[in-house]
Amino acid sequence: MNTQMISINLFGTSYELPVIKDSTFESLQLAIKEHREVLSVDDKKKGLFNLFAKKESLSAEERLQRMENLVENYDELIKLLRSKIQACRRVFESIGDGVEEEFLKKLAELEKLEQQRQTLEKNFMAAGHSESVNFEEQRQNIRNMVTNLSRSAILILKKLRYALDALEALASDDEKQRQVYETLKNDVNLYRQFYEFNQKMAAIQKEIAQMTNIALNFDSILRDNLGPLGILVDQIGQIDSNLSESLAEIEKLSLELEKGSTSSESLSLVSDTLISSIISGRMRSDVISDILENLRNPLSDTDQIDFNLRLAESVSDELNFAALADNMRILVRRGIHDLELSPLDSEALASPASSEKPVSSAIPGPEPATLSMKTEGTMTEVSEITQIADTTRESRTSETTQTADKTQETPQGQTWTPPPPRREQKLGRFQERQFYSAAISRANPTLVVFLLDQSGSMETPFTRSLSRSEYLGQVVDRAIEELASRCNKADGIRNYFDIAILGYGNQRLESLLGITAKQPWLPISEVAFAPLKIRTDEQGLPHPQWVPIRHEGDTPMCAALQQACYLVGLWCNTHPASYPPTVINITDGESTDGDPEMAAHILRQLHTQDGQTLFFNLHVGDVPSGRGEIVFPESSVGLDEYGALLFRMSSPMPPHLKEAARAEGFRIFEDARFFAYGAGADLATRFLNLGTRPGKLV
Amino acid sequence: MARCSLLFFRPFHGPAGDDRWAWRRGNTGRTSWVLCDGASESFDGAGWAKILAESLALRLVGPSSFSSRGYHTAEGQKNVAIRIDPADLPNQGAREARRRYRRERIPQLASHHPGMEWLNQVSLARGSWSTALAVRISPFFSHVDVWALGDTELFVLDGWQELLHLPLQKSSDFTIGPPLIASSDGGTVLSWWYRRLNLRSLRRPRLVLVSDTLASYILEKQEAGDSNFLREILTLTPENLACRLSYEETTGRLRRDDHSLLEVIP
Repeated sequence: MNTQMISINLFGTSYELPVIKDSTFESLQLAIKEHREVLSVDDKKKGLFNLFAKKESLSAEERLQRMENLVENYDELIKLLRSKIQACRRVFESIGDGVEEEFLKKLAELEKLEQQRQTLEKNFMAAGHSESVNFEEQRQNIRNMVTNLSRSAILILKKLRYALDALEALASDDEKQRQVYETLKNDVNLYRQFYEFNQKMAAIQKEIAQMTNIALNFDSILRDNLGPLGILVDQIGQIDSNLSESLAEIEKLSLELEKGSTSSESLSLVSDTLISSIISGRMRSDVISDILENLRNPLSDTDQIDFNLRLAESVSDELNFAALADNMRILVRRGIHDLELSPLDSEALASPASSEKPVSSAIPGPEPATLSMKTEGTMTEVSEITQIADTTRESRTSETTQTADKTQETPQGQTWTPPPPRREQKLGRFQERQFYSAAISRANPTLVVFLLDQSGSMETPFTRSLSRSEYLGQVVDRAIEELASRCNKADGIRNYFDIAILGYGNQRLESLLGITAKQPWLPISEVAFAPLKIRTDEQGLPHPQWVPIRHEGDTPMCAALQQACYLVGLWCNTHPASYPPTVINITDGESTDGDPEMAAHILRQLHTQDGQTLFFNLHVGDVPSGRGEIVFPESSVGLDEYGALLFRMSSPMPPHLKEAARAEGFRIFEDARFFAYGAGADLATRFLNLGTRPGKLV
Repeated sequence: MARCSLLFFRPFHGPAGDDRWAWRRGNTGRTSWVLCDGASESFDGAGWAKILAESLALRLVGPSSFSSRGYHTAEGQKNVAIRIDPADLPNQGAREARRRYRRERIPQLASHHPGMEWLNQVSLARGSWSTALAVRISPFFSHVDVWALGDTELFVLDGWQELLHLPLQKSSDFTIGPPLIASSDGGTVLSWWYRRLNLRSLRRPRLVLVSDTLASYILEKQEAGDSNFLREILTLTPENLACRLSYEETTGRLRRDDHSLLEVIP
């Protein structure tokens, strides 16, 4: 950099001072001025009536470029100023030295003059001319000169000092300016990064928009390129036609059954098809409704797979890219896999235990349906489920694990297990979420089913004055009364519960609430409205009775459980988001129509999004082993064969019921099941009181 | 006189919710403010909370077993404070509320749900429950008496700075089964939580009465280091506060429940 200098001559010495406002400085100032003018165009500078407004505003890129140039100019200007200030400082210091030197030189001369004056004065006095020459004036002049010299030197030094101070101040201002422009520089750098980031984001946004467009029009692309989506609809139609055939088949078998013209093998088939229809109905509804909904509304798919929920969880506080990536992997894997499975006619069921006796049901039968059975399909499904179980086993609760393990213990060896709900599969939520936590509301009620043994053995006295059937009937009545009063609010009855009561005995299966085919359960308000009769206790309080007292014949528990499967399956279909159903089986003896374990197993597998059906078993009366009451056991060790069977049939206790049972004074282990064996009257009451205490009402 | 600067109610059920609080001004210049939170599990939680709040507010400033002469002086207040048991006042109020509930409310309820009279009888026999938080501010705002039963919480602020909250101290103290005042509880003496707070040293005291779920959430936030949440919600209009709480509920951070908030500035 060529620095222009100016010479200053002081005391015969020439000093070279840098010219601060030189051509470089001026060009930089001009550039800065121009940048600032361009950048600071605002409304006030638009001109008269906007006639002379600038026609074009700067683009973001140009603006950033200008700002960067401005900062560069400022940077250069500051560097220039700093070098000039440093040069000035050095010159001033030299001048200071020069002044000192000059001062000392002049002072020495004046000292010499003074010495000469004194010598002359002495000489004159010695010569006797002391009065003729007056040296006082010279002495005074020398003194004045010394004074003036000193003052001049001090003044120069003071001025130099001021100049240095000014330079210091300038340097200080310069430093502040430097900091300001350093910040500005950083800001501009940030703006530049932000600008580039926005550019990148806009590009990605554009790509995603294209992808969204493709997704929205994907069906039309498929239609145009790969043929109509009617293939899927055809498949669904195929399933429906299979269903119609099955309906006809069941109807035929039912007619034969009524006429008594059917063989025991056919009855077994009825039982099989009953179970099949329940499960197929559940599966068909799950898959077909999903497909139809997805076809109808592509956006609904994100709702169905709860991706929004996970997305919200990930996005709300901080972006969790790993979770989102996991979601997407699961979605892709499960979503595509599910579509591959969509032809439901490949599903098949293992046969449940066959019935030994015909069961005449007073209840309208389940929607009969059968599926064509293919072993290969079954194996595919089972292996898939096993895969799910493998991936989820580690993190599932001990209760669920126990249930999964129990699947292997079922008597048929190779059993079909309904998969978890599709949305759960897709998100792997079976591994993560806490079950039995859904709030019970009017929009999402829960179902309570009582299965009441009304066989002949229930006539046995249970308390001093009441038989088993009478006492347990009253206990069930009080449980429903309690549920009803919990739903009764000043502003009306809130239907938090759907209720069904099935009585089984004497080869009959009967709804004790008068349910119909269209409505296999009743909301609590309707139940409360129609008790059989109302008794009044000693305190004058009314207690309604719903359960008729009956006790005769054998114990068709299998039929009751199969009916419960149908009822619960249907209910789960219509209440997917609800707290899962609770089924309470109250009995005093063994099943007389076969092994109920398979039906119980299937019943427990039916589920809502909040978990699997809770199946509780209350066995009253004496036990063969004579061990007395056993309640909420954690294993079947010590139980006799029938006790062990009921234990296996019962659901593990969900956490909130464990807490409630502990609060009631029961000793509850981690793996406890909701099961009582050989219960007396008091325990039976407490058992039902606990069992009808589902989650939180809102 | 103390004034209410923010009144916010967001019921989970039903269209209203502004009936669960009450205030009264006594002859001596004292004012009482009561917030009750009816248990949603009970038959008539809202109705019982309304009557309870009104009865308590009236009792805390109304004629009582002591003479109010000279109460407006500091000496008088001191004498009264020594002579009476403050815990007895809200019990008197609760007894009056039960009498009034039996007299006014039960006849109305017994006749609704035609055909299900048995259910009404059973429900009324079971009764209804509510929590209660009552504050009584002295005539010259020198102190405030606080009575609480249940988990309705009082936050005391000086300006925007929170000084203390009571009766519960931390979010984990809010349990599923708080103590409740029953409408059908015959003669049970309730043990009220009572404290007198000195307001003289506060420049701009604020008393904020908050229902359980919201209070628990505020404390959770504070325990997590976000001490500005209470201030934030106090600066919102009721409409914006409703939106804010809806958002918190949607994200799952705040449990869905009735939310009530009453800010009183002496």
